[in-house]
Amino acid sequence: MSQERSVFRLNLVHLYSTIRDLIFYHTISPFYMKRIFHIIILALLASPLLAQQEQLLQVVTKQIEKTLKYQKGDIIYINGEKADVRIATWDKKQVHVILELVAKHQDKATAEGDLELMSYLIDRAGSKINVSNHLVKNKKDRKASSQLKAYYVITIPKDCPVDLRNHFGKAELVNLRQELDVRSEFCQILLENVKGEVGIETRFGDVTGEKLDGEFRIASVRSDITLTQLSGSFNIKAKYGKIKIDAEHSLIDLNIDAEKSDIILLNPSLATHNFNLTAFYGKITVPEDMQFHFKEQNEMVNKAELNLPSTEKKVSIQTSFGSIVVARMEM
Amino acid sequence: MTEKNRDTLDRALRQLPQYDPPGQLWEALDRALTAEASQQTLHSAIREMPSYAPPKMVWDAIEEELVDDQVVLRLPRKRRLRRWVAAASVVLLCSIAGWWWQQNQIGREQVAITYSEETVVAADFLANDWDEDEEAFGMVAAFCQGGNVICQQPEFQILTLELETLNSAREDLKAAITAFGQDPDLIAQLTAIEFERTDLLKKLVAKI
Repeated sequence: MSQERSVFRLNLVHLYSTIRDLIFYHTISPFYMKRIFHIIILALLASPLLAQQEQLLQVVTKQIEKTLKYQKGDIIYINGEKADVRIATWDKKQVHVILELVAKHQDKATAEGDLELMSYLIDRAGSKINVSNHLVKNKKDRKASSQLKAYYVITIPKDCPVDLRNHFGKAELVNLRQELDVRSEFCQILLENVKGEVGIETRFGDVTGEKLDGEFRIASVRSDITLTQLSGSFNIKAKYGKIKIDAEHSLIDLNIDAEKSDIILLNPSLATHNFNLTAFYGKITVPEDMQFHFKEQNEMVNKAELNLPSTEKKVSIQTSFGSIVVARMEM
Repeated sequence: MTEKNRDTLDRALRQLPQYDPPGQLWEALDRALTAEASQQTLHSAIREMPSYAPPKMVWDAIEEELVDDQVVLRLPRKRRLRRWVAAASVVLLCSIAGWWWQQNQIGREQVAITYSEETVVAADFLANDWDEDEEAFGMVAAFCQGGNVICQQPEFQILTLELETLNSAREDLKAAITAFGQDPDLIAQLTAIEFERTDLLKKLVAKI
């Protein structure tokens, strides 16, 4: 410690003498001249990097909050553009909407102006509760130059059916108990504890679901599907995607009709289901201890079946240019 | 009973000689009275004392006083009650006001605008560079315009159709980036599509 202090004192003395020499005698020792030169070079090199790394944005947020009365028979229609939508339920007979429209730009006035180009609607028309946002052009046909985004937090009664359309963003659907219809593009869909009649059409947007119960129909293009803890029946039509179903402790009827997709079925409840697997130009892999019967096994088609006369529950999977894997462990 | 010779009696009493008791007398009396035997004697004497019932008017007077007291006591109770009623009224009014306010809020839009600042990474990799290599994709289209038989092959056509799907998605994303700004999520999606397009292009070029 004392050694460090003495070194520090020595450095200070050197620095003092250097500054003194520089001021009074306009000279500097070669040792410090070299140091200063290095520091200047480093500062010059680092300055453009630092300038590039950070940018200060002005964030203007418009928050709109509205509560609407709910009556049995009402349906909520949500139409989002570049929106993150979260829908959850509560016990009140009301629909509560918090919408945040956000504009980000280096210039505050530009962000404020661009925020006005985001129009929105939260209103009722008969039994339809309409909630939407979209981008409009202003009178001078000026386009927005800010980063724009909409965030919805919508709380609905449990028995309220939902119709959701969203382009570019995210949809988080929690604790829903009624009819749900989702159509989206470039939108990640998260389902948690959802029960009811559910229809999902997605393009370029992955679907992730947990604790799902009911009648599910999923049609996807270029989207991955990951589902766990399932009950009920699931009908999946997929194109270009990776489908992963964790069927542990699940009592389901599963039908996957896929094209150019890989399918993984984990931990199936074997005692209760019949299996019918077909892969065109793709492989089928099953656990060795499962008594699958391979009806066809060649380069063009692979077909495997497992029939239990005691049950009518069925897992039917078909794909092309992709593989089917049935496994017991986590992959 | 009245005294007939009161004056004579008074005079005779005044003429009686007076004596001061000795100093220890009171102390001796005190000891004698506080002694246990004396206490017992005293208590038995008290028990033997005659008792007298008070006249009815005494009870009437007491009762009257008590009634008056009750009147005095009832007043604060009423006041307390009034206070409770007042407090309950305030609570009720507040509840009604709250309910009314809540009901009034239903269907009413509340709008608030807030301002904040955010520091972000501003780097070259966010720039619009996705059209730089489009010539390569155009090359395949130009090759097929000549009516080459390779382009008629089913496998080639399947790949071309896939490429068209990806091109359409790419245009959608580019339009979204133009409309909503350079959002990193959109750029990540566009990058994923570019990977797939590149993969397809390589497959197509391999067939040419």
